[in-house]
Amino acid sequence: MANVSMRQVRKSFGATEVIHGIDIDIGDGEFAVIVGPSGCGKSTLLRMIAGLEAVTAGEVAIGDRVVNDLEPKERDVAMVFQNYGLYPHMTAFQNISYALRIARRPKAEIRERVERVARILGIEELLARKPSQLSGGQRQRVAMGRAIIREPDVFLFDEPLSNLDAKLRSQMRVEIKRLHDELKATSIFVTHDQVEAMTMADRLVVMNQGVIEQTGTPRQVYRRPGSTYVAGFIGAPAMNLLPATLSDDGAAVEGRGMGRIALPNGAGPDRSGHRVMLGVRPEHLAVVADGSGGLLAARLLYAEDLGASRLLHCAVGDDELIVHTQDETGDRPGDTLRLAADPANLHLFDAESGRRLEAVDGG
Amino acid sequence: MIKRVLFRNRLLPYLLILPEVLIVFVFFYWPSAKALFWSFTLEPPFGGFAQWVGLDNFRELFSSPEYYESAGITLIFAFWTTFISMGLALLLAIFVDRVIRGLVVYRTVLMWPYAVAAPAAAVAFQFIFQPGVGFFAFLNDIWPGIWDPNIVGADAMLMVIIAASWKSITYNFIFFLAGLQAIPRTFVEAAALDGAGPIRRFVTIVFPLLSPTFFFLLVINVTDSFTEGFGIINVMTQGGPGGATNILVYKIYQDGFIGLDLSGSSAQSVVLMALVVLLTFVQFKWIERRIHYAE
Repeated sequence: MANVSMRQVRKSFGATEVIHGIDIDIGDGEFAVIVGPSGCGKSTLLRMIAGLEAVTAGEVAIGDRVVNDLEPKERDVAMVFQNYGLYPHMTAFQNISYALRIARRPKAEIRERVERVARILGIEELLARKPSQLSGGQRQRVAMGRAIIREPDVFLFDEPLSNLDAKLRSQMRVEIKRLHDELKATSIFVTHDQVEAMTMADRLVVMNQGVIEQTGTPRQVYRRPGSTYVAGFIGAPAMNLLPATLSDDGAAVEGRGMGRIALPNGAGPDRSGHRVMLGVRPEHLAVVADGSGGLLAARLLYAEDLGASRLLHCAVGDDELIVHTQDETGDRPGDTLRLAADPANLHLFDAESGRRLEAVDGG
Repeated sequence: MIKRVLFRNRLLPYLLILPEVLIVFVFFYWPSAKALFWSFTLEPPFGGFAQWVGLDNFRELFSSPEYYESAGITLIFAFWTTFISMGLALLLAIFVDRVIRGLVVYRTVLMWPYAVAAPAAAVAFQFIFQPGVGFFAFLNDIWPGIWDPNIVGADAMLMVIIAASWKSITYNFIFFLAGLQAIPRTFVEAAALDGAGPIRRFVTIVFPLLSPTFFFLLVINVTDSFTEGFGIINVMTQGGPGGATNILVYKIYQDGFIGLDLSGSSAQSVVLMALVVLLTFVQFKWIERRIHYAE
């Protein structure tokens, strides 16, 4: 059991810096998910914690030990790899027991511990098989077993679910969470899948291009995204972002095709005329009866029926937005819809920096 | 995966493999069949009718102590050549596998000896190992008579083993390096996290995954050292001194082409061929079973 912290961590490959000074504190027993698009540096970050990549600058600490110069085996971390990394010439039993055999534990203890882990993961029947004789989901479990058996301080997961099909993925998601609740070891889970990130994390770390965009609980990140980048990345379908301008008194925004939208708290007169992005999530928009005001008028382009709900793709001026609604309206493409949203669910971002303008309280 | 090619023309596929078949037939099957026939006859060296003698040639061969001596020398030569060249090649490949910058340069430079013909390499090594010049002259000056492959059989043996090993290191190196680079990094990383140091990782993970390459090279090297040592020995020692480096394949040449005992050397060829086949069979039987082939 240990917390993991990084102080101003940087990583360069040759002359290219890929991690630009990152600070993270992950508490003991926390399940942290690092999410970001491919190439954002999240896997590199994980590999630096594991000791598979050298740290160019800064400090990585596990528990109260700075581990920068420690070998992977001295860090007491276990990792589940994206392609599982199961030793192909060993059976599942040999794979799971490898670390214990390296540590020269007594045979009886190894057998006992492997069987316990296999029971937890429901793979007792598979222990004699080689990885090539296992399905994707079974390999995943064996890989987890190999990590669990060591009872490490920290679990690291490098996109472990990305090779599974959708159904297995959601099943393993729940299972990994359940395991974490049972084992209570600090876990760091890297993924590019925002659904995994939202559902699994105690703490969400959103990364982009080698920096951390935002840290918080999934709820916080969803409710108050710190930048247009996070707003677009977390939540599906993505948050609608419309260019707009703050009014002279800073109490409202105006944009093409949307008229004047009053802000509950205002942005302050000192920002008058400021170019902003107005954000509103598809699920926070509602279609209202014609003539009863609403937020803005949009032309329906087409509707996607998801069964339980519908996605309405609309145009506002030159911009597109999506409405996620459960209402059954008889609208046809080309119709004009009046859309409304609770002002509390509006987000305002600086158009240039993309940062959230905090005066508008969406929380 | 088996690649299937469909030929419209029924004749074309046969024409395409014809050159290869012709070469193998002319240079392998025909001489082999001839040798097999000659080994049961007494073949006059200057032509004329051969006399059928049944197994006499083989009887004579197996009652000759010289032959057993040559077989023993061959085993020593084959064992050490294979051991040294595969061992050093593996070591070099492990080193180069760790190199990131300049990999192509190392790979190319370490490949060059393969392009050197055996006799050319032998001439170079013979010069290096001359007792009267260079480094060994210096050693002989300090400890007179410590090195002379022209007189001392063991020195001569060591010399041809080193030359033959040097020649085949490159071939082995290329295969080992390719084998090492085909092993996904993840396995090694997972083992590192599981607490295995570099040596344990090599023994428990890397080597088992490299074993198909290792086995292939073992078969090739053993077979080669039984048959390919000829070029080096012919240039460096001619089987001497006193028959100390007279390996089977060189003895076949000497008895057949110098001694003109065509039937006796044919019998030796047949035995050598059988020996190589047997050895390959043994390797497949005993070693291949323990090999993991990737699926």
